[in-house]
Amino acid sequence: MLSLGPIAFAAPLALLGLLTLPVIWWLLRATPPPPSKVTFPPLRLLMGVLPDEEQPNRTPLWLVIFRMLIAAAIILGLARPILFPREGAEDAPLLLVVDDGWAAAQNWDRIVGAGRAYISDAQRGGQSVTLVFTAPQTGTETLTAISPGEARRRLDAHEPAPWPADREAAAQRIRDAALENGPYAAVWLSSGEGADAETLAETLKSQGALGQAVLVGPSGSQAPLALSPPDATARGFEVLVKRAGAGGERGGDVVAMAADGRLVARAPYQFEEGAREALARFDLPAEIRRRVALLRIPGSASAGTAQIIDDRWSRPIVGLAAQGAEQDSQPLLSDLFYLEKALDPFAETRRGAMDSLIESSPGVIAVVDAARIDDPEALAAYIEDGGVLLRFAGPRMAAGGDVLLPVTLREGGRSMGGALAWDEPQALAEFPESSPFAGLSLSEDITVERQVLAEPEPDLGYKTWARLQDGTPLVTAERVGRGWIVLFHVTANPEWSNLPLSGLFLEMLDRVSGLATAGGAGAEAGEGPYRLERAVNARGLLGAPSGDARPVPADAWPPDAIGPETPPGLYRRGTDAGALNVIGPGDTLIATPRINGVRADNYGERSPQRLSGLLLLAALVLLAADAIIALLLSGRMRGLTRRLRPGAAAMAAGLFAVALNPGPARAQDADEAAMAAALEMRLAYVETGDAEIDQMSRAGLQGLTRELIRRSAVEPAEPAGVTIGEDNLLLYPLLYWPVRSSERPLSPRETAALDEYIKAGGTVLFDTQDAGTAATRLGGGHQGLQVLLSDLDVPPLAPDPAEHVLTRSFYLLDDYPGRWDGGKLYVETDEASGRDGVSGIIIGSNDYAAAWAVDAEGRPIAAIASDDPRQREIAYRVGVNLVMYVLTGNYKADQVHVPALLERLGQ
Amino acid sequence: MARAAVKPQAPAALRREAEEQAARYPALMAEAERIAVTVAQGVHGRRRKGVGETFWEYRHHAQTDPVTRIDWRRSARSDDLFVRENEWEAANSVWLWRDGRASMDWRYDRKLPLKKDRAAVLSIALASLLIRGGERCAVLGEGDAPRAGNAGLDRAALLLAAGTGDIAETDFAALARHARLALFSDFLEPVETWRARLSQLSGIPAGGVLVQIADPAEEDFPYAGRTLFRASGGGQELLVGRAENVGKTYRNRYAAHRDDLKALARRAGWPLVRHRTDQPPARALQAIYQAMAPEG
Repeated sequence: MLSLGPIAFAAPLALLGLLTLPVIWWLLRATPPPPSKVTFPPLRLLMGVLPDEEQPNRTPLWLVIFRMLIAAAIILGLARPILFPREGAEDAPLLLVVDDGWAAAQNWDRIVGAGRAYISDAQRGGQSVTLVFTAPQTGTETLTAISPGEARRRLDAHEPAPWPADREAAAQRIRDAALENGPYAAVWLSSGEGADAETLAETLKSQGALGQAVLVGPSGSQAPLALSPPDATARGFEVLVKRAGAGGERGGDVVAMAADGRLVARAPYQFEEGAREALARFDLPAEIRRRVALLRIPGSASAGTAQIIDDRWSRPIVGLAAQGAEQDSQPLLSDLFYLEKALDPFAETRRGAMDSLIESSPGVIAVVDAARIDDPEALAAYIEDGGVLLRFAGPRMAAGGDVLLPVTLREGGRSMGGALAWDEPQALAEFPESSPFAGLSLSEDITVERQVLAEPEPDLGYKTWARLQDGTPLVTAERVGRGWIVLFHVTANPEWSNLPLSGLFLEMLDRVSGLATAGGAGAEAGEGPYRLERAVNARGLLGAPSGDARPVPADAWPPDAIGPETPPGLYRRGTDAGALNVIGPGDTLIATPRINGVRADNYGERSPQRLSGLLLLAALVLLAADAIIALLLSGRMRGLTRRLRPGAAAMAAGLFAVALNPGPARAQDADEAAMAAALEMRLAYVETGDAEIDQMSRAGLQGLTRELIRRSAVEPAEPAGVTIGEDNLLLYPLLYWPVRSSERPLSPRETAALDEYIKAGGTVLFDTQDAGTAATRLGGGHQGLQVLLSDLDVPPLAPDPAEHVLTRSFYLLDDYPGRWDGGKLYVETDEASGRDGVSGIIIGSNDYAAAWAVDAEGRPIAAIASDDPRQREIAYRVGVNLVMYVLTGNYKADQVHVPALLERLGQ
Repeated sequence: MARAAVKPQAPAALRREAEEQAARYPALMAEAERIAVTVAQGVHGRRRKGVGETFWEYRHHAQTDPVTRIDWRRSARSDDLFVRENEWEAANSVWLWRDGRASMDWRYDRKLPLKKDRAAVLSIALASLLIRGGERCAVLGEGDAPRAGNAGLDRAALLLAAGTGDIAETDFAALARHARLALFSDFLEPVETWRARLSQLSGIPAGGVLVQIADPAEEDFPYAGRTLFRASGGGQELLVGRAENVGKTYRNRYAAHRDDLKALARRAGWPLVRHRTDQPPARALQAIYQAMAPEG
């Protein structure tokens, strides 16, 4: 093999052919092209003309160069050039070490691709391959040299493990195997993560042929990511995304999924240039947050980019510190009773003595007034550990001398609006932006008559979460360790203010309890060891556990190491669930360092490219062009060119394009489609460009078409996918439009087409498909829908109109479920529009396509988000009604007269 | 007799060639008829009374008129006797000749007709017009006497479409005095040749029209590049290195030749009609017919 910079030639002798180029040059220059022969009747007139002597016309210079190029391309092609060759890869048996820990999963395709390339090299050189995987397996096989074909099969069949690789062990196995037949061409396909590279690298170096091993790893932009355990915040939670090594800017989304696989929320993360960590913030109500079972980074699927959430955020337990017996004389007026009722909707409350509460470690311990605290140290430790101490003021606290308060209190407090006071009772001021209560809506009639006052301190403002309109703090809090001390400066009963009677009080308590990270339901766990319930696979998805997993004794929980016997996943012991994640709270990602004496390489870069085929193909194309040129020069193409001249260049370009890109030419014959659509009625959906959504829309309309044919006289043809602004919409009576949240605004052309369609009597069913997760929008509008409708002339719409024709155009319906139930269906209120009362725009969110979707055999494709299988049937009825409504207009509206008619008939 | 010039061929080949030639005849005939109709609107008689079939006028009966000539139907309508006069439709003999030599059997562009075919179309159309006008037609060099009527047209058309039309072998002696001729050719021979022929014809005396059929390529010379020119029918060859370089000279020469021919025609009193095969034939036919019509 001959190397010239980045290009090597496998058959360098063929390059001698280049020496013949001068000869070809001379030959080409010497031979004139043959003349074109024509018959010419007035030759007599021409005979005497001949001004210049007939000269041996030489071939034009550019043609000579062109033909030399062809010759050169053929010669170079025959020399089998390779771009970026891998030296020595074919000369020694291959020792291929493949990282298959969780970090490798993100680049697994690249790793397998590189592995196949190296194996191919070994195959060409007739060498054997020894394949070593670094992740620990339950059964350890001995290392043996196998044939390249077998190695390729094994590599293809191999799946990365969801646990970390153990490179020390792999190095040990290589040493123990006492490999023969060395020296080897040692190649290590690394995941790019993990610092423990030295031993393995040394081992490889010692085995390596030519004294050199190759370490292939992902480039900076492909560095593996990891997801840290989430930290709760008042308004949701935040999660750190980490990466191995500091690369350039890189961003993506973290998604939160429910236990049933549904997407609950999505939050973006963005690595700054050089940053190793990025933060993704989820703003979720506690209600929604409790549903989150798994966090993932969809783009880079691996066990390390998945975080299973255990019961941590299930209904928090709030311990209510019992007061002395003297306070319980009027139990229905006591602070604790109010608290209990207020917490009830979203938290588990438990009364008890303070010390027993601390022992059971609930998320929040609520203390009213100056309850006696026997063991302040234990309580402080509890707070340090992530507990939340929620305190309420009272007459005794106002008397002073209390500890474990966020602020220093002035003795006495103040009262307003009393008979002897000048002040009016104070209302609440807007919550500060930094407060966890920010965004809660205030009610005017909440007033405070008495409160305890904080001493003015420099950090008082910082600690204040809520204040009255005159600026005095109403709720203050202080961070202590990982926990909080929160003080309401009023009582928990309505003696001092009517706040505890308001709905706002519930929301405030909900936000406070959301801060709790400690405890949970741990107190009453079941018996026996933790058993794996659902395992995280290498792609970061929850699945059934494999047989290798062993139960973990309760006292050994959480296990020290994650491996084949204790794979990551959700473990359960009685009612207690424990999540075992690959990435723990403090874990950092370390990029695999470069190692002296080991050549470093990156995936996907500089992989050998064989150029021979390309060169020979180019020579062929040039030869074909040369033939055309020769014909042109000799005038034989004249007849042809005269006819083709305008199109000749385009045709040549086209031929070139076809030769270079033999992909399927997509002939978009709009007329043909329109004619086909005009022949038969059919349903249509708007193509979003997202293949998954489009497929679902198509399957949905197919299912609906099937049901329509089965149940009604409407027999539509196969549904059609249309592009707004390109296809002729007027041929379709109903347009199903799945709206994504990422819709871009319509172009003027699209708006015009859609307007025309609706004005001409068409109906568009917008389906936001998100009734199940609409709550995550917190009452805000659907982004995509807002964008879409912003330019459209939308008539007034009303949700779920009772007595609407839709409810009885074929079936009698009460509501309009799709895959989800509960999303509202909006139709035009103006029945008197000139379109026979048919609403031009219908907006739903129940994901109808998924409910209707069937496969080729007529089996449903998507699951219904309901336990009641009848919901699918109802969904079909909604679809049938919808089509009937669109096709027949207000015809069925006449049925309102049926009772009257019947009555008249009876007489 | 014209066949004698053709080199001996196998009977089968001869027959096939004849059939090919004849197959072209109906098409040419049809096209000739089509364009003749467009011109026929303008056909008219001699505008004086005479021997003919078309009514010309009624006149009072004269003493010299035989009784049989009295038009009794007209006379019955009045007291006078009337005689019916028909228009004088003197039949003239027209000899047509369509050059059929190799130089005529050529075209540059496949979309255009052969010069020979265009000449045939024009000449048949002319024959059709003339016979419709009562003239008698014959094809020069074929030995037939001029004939009138449909039979005459068929005969003439067949000979014009498929005949060899070699003027070198034509015997002008057969022409009647004051015969009229229509000669269709490309007139690419030296002008002297035609001067001799025309003076020979004028001596008979006979007059007529020259119709020059030209292919656009002969005028425009669209050749370029290294080109080997061959005379039609073989023989001479000429290799030109850069055909585009000789184009200008050739065009000048061609124009000179054309002017010579025009001068010759004017002097001999033969109208010269020029026709390019890329132009519609009807216009040329109109011009030819106008030129053929005798003064008066």
